[in-house]
Amino acid sequence: MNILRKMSACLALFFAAVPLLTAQNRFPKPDFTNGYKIPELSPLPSAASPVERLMLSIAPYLQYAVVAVLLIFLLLSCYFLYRKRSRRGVLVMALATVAFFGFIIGGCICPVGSIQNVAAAVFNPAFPISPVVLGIFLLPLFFALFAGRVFCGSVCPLGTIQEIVNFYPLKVPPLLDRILRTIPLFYLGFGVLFAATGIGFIICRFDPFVGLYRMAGPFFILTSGGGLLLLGVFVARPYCRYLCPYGVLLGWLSRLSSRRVSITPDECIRCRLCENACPVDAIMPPSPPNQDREPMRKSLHRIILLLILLPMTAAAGGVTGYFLGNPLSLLHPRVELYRQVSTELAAGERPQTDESLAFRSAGTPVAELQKEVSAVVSNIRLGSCILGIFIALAIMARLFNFSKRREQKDYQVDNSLCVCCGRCYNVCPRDKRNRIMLKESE
Amino acid sequence: MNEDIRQDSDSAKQVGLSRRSFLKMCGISAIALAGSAMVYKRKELTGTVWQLDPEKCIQCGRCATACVLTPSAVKCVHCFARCGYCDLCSGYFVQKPVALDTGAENQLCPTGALKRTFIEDPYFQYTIDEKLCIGCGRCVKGCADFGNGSLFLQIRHSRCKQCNECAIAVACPASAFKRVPVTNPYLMKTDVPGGGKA
Ligand code: SF4
Ligand code: SF4
Ligand code: SF4
Ligand code: SF4
Repeated sequence: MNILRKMSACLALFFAAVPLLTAQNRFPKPDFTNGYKIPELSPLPSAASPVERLMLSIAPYLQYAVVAVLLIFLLLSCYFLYRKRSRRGVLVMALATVAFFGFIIGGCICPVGSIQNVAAAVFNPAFPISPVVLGIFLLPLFFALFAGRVFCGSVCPLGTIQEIVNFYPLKVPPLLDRILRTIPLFYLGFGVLFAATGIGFIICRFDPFVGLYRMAGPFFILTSGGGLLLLGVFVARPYCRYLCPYGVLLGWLSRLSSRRVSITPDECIRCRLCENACPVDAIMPPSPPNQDREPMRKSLHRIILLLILLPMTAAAGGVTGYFLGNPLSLLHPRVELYRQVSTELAAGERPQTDESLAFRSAGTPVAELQKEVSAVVSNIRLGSCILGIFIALAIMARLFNFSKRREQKDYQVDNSLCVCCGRCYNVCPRDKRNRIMLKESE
Repeated sequence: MNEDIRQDSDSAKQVGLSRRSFLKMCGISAIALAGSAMVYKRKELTGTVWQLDPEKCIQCGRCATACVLTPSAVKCVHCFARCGYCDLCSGYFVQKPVALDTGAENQLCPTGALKRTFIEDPYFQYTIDEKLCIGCGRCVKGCADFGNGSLFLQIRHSRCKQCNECAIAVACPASAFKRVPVTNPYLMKTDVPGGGKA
């Protein structure tokens, strides 16, 4: 027995030296004499638990069911928000979203992250994208075109959890608010750039709430999620307003929507009660009477100045983007691998990292990697140049919007900012519910 | 219907309305066009899940640590058809075992998840106790380096949360992770290297 063991040990060492070049195993399949039958895989994923088998077999349909639920939730939210004018209905939907899209589905995949799948699929035809993901991406945008950001109000798993904790909304100073609101533009731009060029899905990597929904995740994500929620008690929806890239798209499209949250059910009596009701400062006061405004000449001048500055800012953005391309490309895993492998090869070293070990033992020629990497780098450079122009133009468009003269006689919401939470319904004295309550108190 | 919505769009936005509805039409057609262009000629009608290709895996150990779940959704699978049933299993024993027995100091697996049962002289069967396995891949490495490579790692879909971007895929040095059709969610090893049957 002992000799046998030693022999098999020697054999093992001998065979280990023989590289697996041919499709042959180092040790032959044993011939059992006691009738032992070789089982299949263990544990058997294909024949695992009945539950897992069931889940896997219905998984394709389940994914479609999620899209259907999304559609139903959106429709219900519209119903509560516009037909019922019910803040409570919106809140119930928000809770349902936290439960279903949050804790049951696990917060993934959500429309916010799906931006990246779509970007990757648009720029890389080999990237797999299913109609399910596409549906999840497009449905809320479609609704935004007709009914504003109802998705944000009660169907977004990220937004609703912030909505629920927002107990003491405080006002953010308007200038700070405007400055911070440019961050989502950058986040959207970089999210799309990184997904399209294969650097990675940063919007998912830094999704602060998905960790809470999964009740697992890196320490950094869990703490930043907790921190944002804590902040969200006082500052309404900090992620929505100052980070969310999907909110940018929803904001653009909801500008086109003719349906919006109307603070009053019938007539605005300009009582100013709603002035501070909006947690995200989406309520615009009536434009001041003509004599109180700055003269037309002045705003015209500002707009002309902006138009003159437009090409220059765009060019500056493009150039900055172009020069950012090289440092950005270092974030790409293949570029990093190439850098590592080529320095190792130049120094005649053995593989220093797992990455280069995997690459070098796979035997792919370095020239191939180099070709791939140079294509990647030029893509990133082009992409970040376009990104620079895009961000410059988007910021200019915002400035333009600020300087435009508004003609508005009542208190109205700005559709691109309103997150459809329905809080303002509860303060308007023209609202039926409020009238009843007023009567009762009298 | 809320009268005021119509009122406001009728009164103040008369001029804006036609432009707005034009832009809206543009938006709708853009969405519809983009949508159909994206699904056109693509095969992923049923959706995808993450899986790792065991032929690419270099058993770096990051599967155990990079997953958003602890313990990881990745666990070891044993392809018995490829196993040599060796007494001196290089996936089971550390490199210079004190003794060829089930003593913890002799085992590669940090959690004792790999179980060894005697079949007949000199053959032993190795099974994985899935509850204990943490997906560290040490046994897989031992088996790949000195054995038949019959042990391998797989994402277990009963555990995996299907993150939109798998955290291990980001960390994997061998780019072994990819999206596979949900209808065929495992990438199994077969009898011999290269996927054939012996
Ligand atoms: S702004 Fe973004 S995170 Fe907030 S509710 Fe809307 S989509 Fe969700
Ligand atoms: S991270 Fe990649 S190389 Fe490392 S053990 Fe997992 S599959 Fe293998
Ligand atoms: S060594 Fe690691 S991969 Fe292998 S069975 Fe043990 S825990 Fe699982
Ligand atoms: S998709 Fe998420 S849960 Fe699944 S293996 Fe990857 S990191 Fe783990």
